[in-house]
Amino acid sequence: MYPDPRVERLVSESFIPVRIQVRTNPAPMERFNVNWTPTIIVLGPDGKEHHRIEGYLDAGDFLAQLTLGLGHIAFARKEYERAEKLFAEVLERFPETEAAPEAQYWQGVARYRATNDPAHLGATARAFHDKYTDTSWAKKASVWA
Amino acid sequence: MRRGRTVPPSFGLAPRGRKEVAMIPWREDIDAALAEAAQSGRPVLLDFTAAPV
Repeated sequence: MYPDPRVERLVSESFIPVRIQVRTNPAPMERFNVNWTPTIIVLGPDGKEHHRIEGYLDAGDFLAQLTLGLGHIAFARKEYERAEKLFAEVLERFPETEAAPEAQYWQGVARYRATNDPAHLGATARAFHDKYTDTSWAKKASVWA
Repeated sequence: MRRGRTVPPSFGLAPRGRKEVAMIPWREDIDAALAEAAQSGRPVLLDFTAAPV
């Protein structure tokens, strides 16, 4: 499933990976509300779900989604500077993926949380005027303009 | 501490001429992984698959 060494490296180095073969072990599907495969769920160290990926993605999109998940975990742990770096990494390395506009949105939120300066939210809203304009994340950020 | 077994990725062999750089140490026991996560502070990735492994 992971024929890309970058994916193997990220999964091996950043996560405790668990594979559930649902044909022989279907019980965890109900426990985690999984209705389709493949489904990838990113849990924080506290066991709470922070990100979910349903369906196959190519390596770039998959790496972007996993990095986004790590960002969400850092954000939930109030590690805002780390979260901002992870969201920025998505934008820098995977700017053409569907994860990128979400990362741009959350990068602004993380920067705001780190500084308590609402100007960062306005700057994020304006950034959506230049890129990822026609995305749901641009609409969500538009209230900050 | 329970350690997961290291298995090759389910896609099979690496493309010719490219060496596998990592073997994902897949676990199969979710609760053991969650206990390991709580102790180590690392996140958990759950991969629900129906593909043959």
